[in-house]
Amino acid sequence: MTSGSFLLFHRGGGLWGIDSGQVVRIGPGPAPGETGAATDGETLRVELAGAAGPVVLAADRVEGVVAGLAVRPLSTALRTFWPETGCGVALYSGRPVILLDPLHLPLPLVASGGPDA
Amino acid sequence: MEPHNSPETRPAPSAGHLLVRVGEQICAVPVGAVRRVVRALTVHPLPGARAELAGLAEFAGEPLPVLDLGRLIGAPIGPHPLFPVTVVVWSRTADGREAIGLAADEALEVVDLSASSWLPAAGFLVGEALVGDQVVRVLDPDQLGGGS
Repeated sequence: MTSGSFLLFHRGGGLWGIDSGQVVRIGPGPAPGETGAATDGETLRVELAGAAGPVVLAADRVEGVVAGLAVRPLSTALRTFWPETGCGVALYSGRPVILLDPLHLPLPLVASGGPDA
Repeated sequence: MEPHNSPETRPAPSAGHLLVRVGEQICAVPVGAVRRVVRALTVHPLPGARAELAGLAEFAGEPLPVLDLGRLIGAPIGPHPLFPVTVVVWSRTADGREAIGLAADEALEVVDLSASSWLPAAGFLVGEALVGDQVVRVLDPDQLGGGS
């Protein structure tokens, strides 16, 4: 299965993708010492809207926007050992990408506006 | 402990098993479930994953979840294990089968294990067997995919 376009970004050692139609802004993360500043390498913030509502994801680096990814469903083993939810998984330049479900974003990726914010 | 005699929890007794070392522990994987043994795949971690999931890798043009075999079987491992090999296994699921990587230290040999002498075990293990004087933990790959 192929899908629309995704914004790919790096975070926590993984490569993640979010439907680019959900993205309204990419901006710098909080400066060191600023309230909410991350200490784990976060340099960018990806603001989402649409179905996801106002949510901000933390990102280390943006890879770009790509289309035509061959999306597979999350395997049973992945769902067993990774308690989060995703729309699927794909490869980009030989590297696995988890495609995020805007309605169920993994908490470790959310900078603000998530379910617990 | 008494030998494990529950037939519904035991795979076919005639199957050979690949012995795989992880740390000081030896694990046995049914040969029929082994797809390939390769040099360690590059694994990308997933934040929030259970400790058993090392991360995702690419194998044969597909995304592959890679599990830490030592954690799966409860083997003591050092603080910075290298896991130079990845054993790619098939795991049966409700929909068919899927590939899973097992990060390990080395693949040793194929042996025939007599299931009638296995001792019971829990979790992803179907039993423990003796090979020489070594206790071998027998993994059921189908449990990893929620099938069997």
